[in-house]
Amino acid sequence: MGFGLAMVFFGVPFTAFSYWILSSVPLTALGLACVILGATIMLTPSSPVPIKVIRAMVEGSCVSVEALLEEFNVTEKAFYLPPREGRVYVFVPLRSNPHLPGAGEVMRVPMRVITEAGGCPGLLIFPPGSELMRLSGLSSGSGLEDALRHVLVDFVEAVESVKAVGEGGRVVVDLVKPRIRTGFPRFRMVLGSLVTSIAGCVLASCLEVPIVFDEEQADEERVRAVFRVIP
Amino acid sequence: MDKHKAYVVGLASLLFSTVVALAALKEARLDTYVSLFTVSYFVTSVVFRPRRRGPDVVGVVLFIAFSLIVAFKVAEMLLW
Repeated sequence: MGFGLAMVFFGVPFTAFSYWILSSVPLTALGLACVILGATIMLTPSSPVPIKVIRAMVEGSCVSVEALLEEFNVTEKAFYLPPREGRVYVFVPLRSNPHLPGAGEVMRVPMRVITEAGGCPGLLIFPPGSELMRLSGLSSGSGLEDALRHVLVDFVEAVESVKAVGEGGRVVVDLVKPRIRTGFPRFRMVLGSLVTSIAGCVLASCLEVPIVFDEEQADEERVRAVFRVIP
Repeated sequence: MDKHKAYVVGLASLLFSTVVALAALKEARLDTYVSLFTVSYFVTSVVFRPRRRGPDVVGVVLFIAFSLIVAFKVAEMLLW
């Protein structure tokens, strides 16, 4: 802000001086460039809500989910459900079940914390990525990769870039240079790391079918998450 | 480098390289500089999509200036 103001204060008299006293067009243009740049810096905040605060709040919101998962000793992978009233929910089976509930059964789960899908008891959780996705103003017709980029790269600035590939009922999401981390082991095991969980919410919303978080490989530079589409 | 810094650096590079390039070509019409500043501004805005505090005042002013320049050029061709 201060730097922008300084450039405008320098640029305006410099432009006037160059135009009327020096009669130099390039120097006048240089002054105008300073004014444009200064005004642009003044009008574009580095972040309206500091991005670090957003990230801290998102990371903090995992605590209650982690506590709930620990309390019920959940080990099964999460189902990301398509939005209901604009919000993505996650169904987590409480027991290991070789016959996963079908898409229709999961999508009809009653809206309770402890619920049931096709005879399979489970928890219905509100993941942190759900509200982020809603607040980002994601449009309904967005493509998969565009939607992921919009939420993860442009809105939350949680990763540097993102790629998504759909292959035979599976979606592989490649997240490059994640900037937010989850130190919660149960959360990571069930929903994936925080960036993966946000990606899961976006995928469920775009594909409009339930998807299961399958696996995740992560290192310092990238996170590769695999989701399975429930038929 | 975060998106905001990349936007400012990108815009500054385009604006100042425009001045240097046109000055090297001995361009003496101010409207040419302003037109290219407008193009540079909107190109960087589209590429980086920066957040703004309010309405895009700089963009509006540059667009009006660009429209006037074009209008004067068209009038010049039609009337003279």
